[in-house]
Order: sequence, then C-alpha cells, then structure tokens
Amino acid sequence: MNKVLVIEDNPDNLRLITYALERAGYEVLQAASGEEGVPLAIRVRPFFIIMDINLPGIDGLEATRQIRSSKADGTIPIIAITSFAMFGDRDKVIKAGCKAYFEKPIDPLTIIDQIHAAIGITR
Amino acid sequence: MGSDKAKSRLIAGDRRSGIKKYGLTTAVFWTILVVGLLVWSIHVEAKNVLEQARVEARAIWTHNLSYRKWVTDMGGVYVRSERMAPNPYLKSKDRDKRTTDGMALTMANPAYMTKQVFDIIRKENDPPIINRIVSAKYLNPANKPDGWEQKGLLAFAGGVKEVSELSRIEGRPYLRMFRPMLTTAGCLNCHGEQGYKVGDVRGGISVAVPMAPYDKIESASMRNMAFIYLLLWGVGVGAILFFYRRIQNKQLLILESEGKYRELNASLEKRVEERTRELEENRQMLMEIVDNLNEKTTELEQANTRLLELERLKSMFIASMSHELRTPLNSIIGFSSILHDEWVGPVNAEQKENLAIVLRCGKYLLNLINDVIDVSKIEAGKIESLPEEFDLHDLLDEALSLVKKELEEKGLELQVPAFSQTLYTDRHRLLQCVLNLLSNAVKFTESGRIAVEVQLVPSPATGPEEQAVEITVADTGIGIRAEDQARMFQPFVRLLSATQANIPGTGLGLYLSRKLAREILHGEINMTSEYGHGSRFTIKIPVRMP
Repeated sequence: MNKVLVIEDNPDNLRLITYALERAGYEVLQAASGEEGVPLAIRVRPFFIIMDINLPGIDGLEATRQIRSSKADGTIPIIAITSFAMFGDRDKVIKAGCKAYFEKPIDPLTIIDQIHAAIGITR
Repeated sequence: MGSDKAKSRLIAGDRRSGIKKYGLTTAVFWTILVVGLLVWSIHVEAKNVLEQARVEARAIWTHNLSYRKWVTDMGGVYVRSERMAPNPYLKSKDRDKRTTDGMALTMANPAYMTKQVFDIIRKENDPPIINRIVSAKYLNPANKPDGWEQKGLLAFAGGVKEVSELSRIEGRPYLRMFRPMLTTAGCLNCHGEQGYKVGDVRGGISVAVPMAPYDKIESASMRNMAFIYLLLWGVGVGAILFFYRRIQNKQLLILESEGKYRELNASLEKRVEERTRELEENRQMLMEIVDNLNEKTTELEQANTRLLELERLKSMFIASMSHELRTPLNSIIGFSSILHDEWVGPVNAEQKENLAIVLRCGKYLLNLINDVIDVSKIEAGKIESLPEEFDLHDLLDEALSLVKKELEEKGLELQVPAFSQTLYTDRHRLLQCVLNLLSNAVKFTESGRIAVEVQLVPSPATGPEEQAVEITVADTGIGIRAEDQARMFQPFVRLLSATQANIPGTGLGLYLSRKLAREILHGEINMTSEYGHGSRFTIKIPVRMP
C-alpha cells in the first residue's frame, strides 16, 4: 500500500482529506506542522505529499523547499492546498517545487481523481 | 526729494563758482602777465631811450672834443678882436696880435672857443643843449665843476670813462653825460705849468641833452605799447570770456543732464523701492501660500497614509474573510458530502435527504461568499487577469461537466459545438462567466434545449487583423419580461421562476459576469429574451487579450 503524507494543521481538513485518501486505498501519514512533516517526509519517502500552504511556523512553501533540497528527495510529488488564492500564489507554489495546486474548499468526492490527473496517474 | 534738488543746486553752484574762479584766475593771470610785460617793456623802452640820449650826448661830446682838438692842434686860432674880446684868463704872450695892415687879432684858445660855441649851441636848440667844459684846476671860474661834475672828475681819476645821469636843469629833464679830457702834448703848451702830464685827466666835458624829444618818443612809444598791450589784453580777456561762456554753457548742459540723471535716478530708486516693497509683499504672500500648501500637503499625506492603511485593511479583510469563511464551509460541505455518499456507512433515504439539504446550503453559502468576495475584489480594483493560451472547446467541456448533473436531473438537452479555437485570455474568469450563463440557463429552463453557439467575428476595435469570439448560451426557458430585462445585470437582482419557487442564486451572477467580461476579458455580455420562449446570452471577447 502506498503511503501518502498529509501536512495540514486544521484537524477538520485533515480528517476530510484522510477519508478521501483512505477510500482511494492509501495509507495516510499525518503531520500538523512543517517542522513535524519535513523530517517525516525525508524519513518515510511517501508516494506523494499533500501540503497545506497556510501552516503555522514554517509555511508550506518553506517546507516544500526543505523537502526538495534534501538529499532523500527523489521526485516525490508535492500537492499544494491553499485557501487564499491570491495572485502569484500559483507561480510561487510551482517555483517552490509543488507539482499541483488546489484551492480550498476541496471536494472530497473528486479530489483524488484531480490529484491523480495532476501527478499523471491513471486509475 | 526736496533736499535732493537743493543739494544738486548747491553742487551745481559750487561747480559754477569753480568755473568762475577759474575764469577769473585766468583773467587775473592774463592781466598780470600783460601788465608785467607792459611794465617791462616800458622799462626797457626807457632804458633804450636813455641810451639813445646817451648816444646823442656821446656824439655831441665827440664833436666837441674834435673841434677842441683841432684848435689845440693848431695851437690856438686867431680871430678879429672886434668880433671877440680877448680872453682875460689867457695868460699867453701870444694872446693878442696885429696884422701888418693893422687888423687886431686875438687868440681863441680851445676852451674859450668851445665855450662860445657852447653858447651858440645852447641858443640854437630849444630846449637848449647844455655843454660845459670843466676842470678841477680851472683857470676861468666859469669852468668850475659843479657837485656832480666834481664827483665825476674823482671817478675819472679812478679810471672811469663816463658818467651820466638824468637830472633837471632849469626845470626841464636832461640827460647829463660827463667824459674826461685827457692831457695831450698840445695841451702842455698852455697848461704845462699847471703840472699836468700827458695822459692825466685835465678835466671833462659834460653834455646835457634835453630829454624832452626823447620823452616825446618815449611817451609815443609807450602809448603805442599801451595800446597794443591793451588790445592784446582785451583780446585775451575776450577769449577768456568767450571760452568761459562756452565752458559755462557746456557746464550748464552737464548740470542739466546731471540734474536729469539725478532725477531719473531718484525716480528709479523710488520705483525700485516700490517694486521691492511689492515683491516683499508678494514674497510674504507666497510664503503664506507655501505654508498653507505645506499644511495641506501634510494633511493630504496623512489622509493618504490613512487611505493606504484602509486599503491595506480592506485587502487583509478580503483575504482573511476568504480564508475564515471558507475554512468551516470546507468542512460543512466536505463532511456532509461524504456522509451523503455513504463513505462512512449506509444512510437511509431520509438521512440522505437531510444531508443533501446540508450540502446544498453549504454550497450555496460558499457561492454567496465567493461572489461577494469577487464583487468586493472587483470594486476594490484588486482583480488582475492571468491570460493563458487554451482551447475553447476544452473550456466548454469543463463547464458542461460542471452543470451535467443538473441538466440530467431536469432532463434537458445540451448542444455544444465541436468547435476548436485557441484563445489567449483569462481562462478562469471566462469559465466563470460561461458557467454562470449555463447554470442560469439550466435554472430557468424547465424543458427543452440549451444550446451553446460559438462564432468568430472581426474585431476592428482591437486591431486591424484581430478577431473576437462570440459565445452564445441560448435556452428555451421562461424568458425575461421586458420590464425586468433592464435590471438583469444589476447586483442582487433575482427573478422568480414560473412556479414562484425560490431559485437558488445569489443575484450576483450576471452582475459579476458582466464586470468580469468588461473589465478583465475586455469584452461584453449582452442578452435578448422573449418572455415565455427563452433567452439568449452572448459573451463577446477578443480572441487575444490585448
């Protein structure tokens, strides 16, 4: 079973996305902050990572950069989720190293398909 | 001002008196010169005249002596006794002689003859020329030298050859000249016994020449000179006067122009003063204005700062509102959605329906929030467009997929043309507009068909080679009443369906769509409708966003 890491500080959002991921057959690893998530990502090397951009402490972009610049990175796709949708966000996110970018609210019924489409998985 | 004029007059006066002084001084000098020259000339003339008299005197003296010499050399001359009485002072044995025929002769010695001739000379001239023959050792008392002659004889003894003086004789002016007679060998014949030796001073002959004729000459000459000098002086003074006048005139002119210049200067100064005062006033006014401006600028700056702060707060508000409102809605919609879809376990029909209601309301709330946020963003000018290249057909497919459910639920037919067209514009916003039109069409159509039409048209407004695309959503819905058509694009306007049921919608859709079309996509949305038959909404935007 593929592991997926979700770095999200809001427990409700975390619960929702976990439902969707587990229903799609992934094992979900959770981190509530960038500080928690980054070492976990480096250690576990999940199939992909869902990164909330609006995190306390180090934000999602910084966490993304840290993961990207680590030696254990490989090519783990990082999916960014953000609630702000300000201009330049998309570019910032892509530049930091994310593969895709979704705005909240995410629809749990379709998010997995959307993610698969973004990272190039056909199921 | 008055003092200035008086002052200038004073200065002018000084100047004038200066010239006058100068003129007078020159005149005085001229006069002194002329007078001096005159006096000198007179003096010289007098000397000349005197010398002329002396020359005459000398000539006479020489003549006197010559005649005497002849007589002396002849040893005496005999004359008829009847003519001349014998000289009692002549102690010579040869004094009287008788000729063989009985004529009585007597000797005329030099002095005796000389004296008689002197008498004749005296009588012949008027005024008389007085000759005298004198000696210190006189034999004839008449030959006694007078005081002057005595002095002269003494001088002769000292070697002086001539003495002369001006004196008055019988009340008339004379030049007296006295020269020595020296003893010659012939003299010793008669005078040897007196103890003379050859070369001694025997005595002297004085000649007194009347100065009257010379005085006449002199005075005539002086008159002449005086006249000439007077003339000269007159001419000089005249010239001085003439030039003085001219200088004075020039002076006057200068003074005039000086005066004018001073006046001008004074008036200029006055004007400068006035101007300076004006300028000072203006400057002060300007300073006040500048102060005011500075105040106002400060106020404006403060107001601007406040405005910027407000802007910032507004942006922050919009941003945080977005986030704060959407976060719980995410959960509401998400969880009700998965429950409704039986992810967590089976639900019965009633539960499903209840959950559906929660879901619907959540979505509605989200839409409302999004629309309100969008509108406020547009109003705040905060929307920027992100143009990208995409295919229109793909976009239409996406829009279609989003309304598919409702279409199927209502049993409506949808026609989308197989029309491929590359657009370069803000895809997200175009999708928003198209979706809005489509969902409106679905909402207000109970039966029938919704057709999407695409058409390319030339767009000369954008450019000579440019094109625009027209996307029309046509429905066979309830249409819009004529009186409502005008209000369609206003915010928060919602129409009721035929069944008077509350049609879900924020009332912002068309308002927002039109704003997006106009301001972001550089296009327009228009509509036509026939109540009861259907409506047509058309978006027209440039194919390439300018």
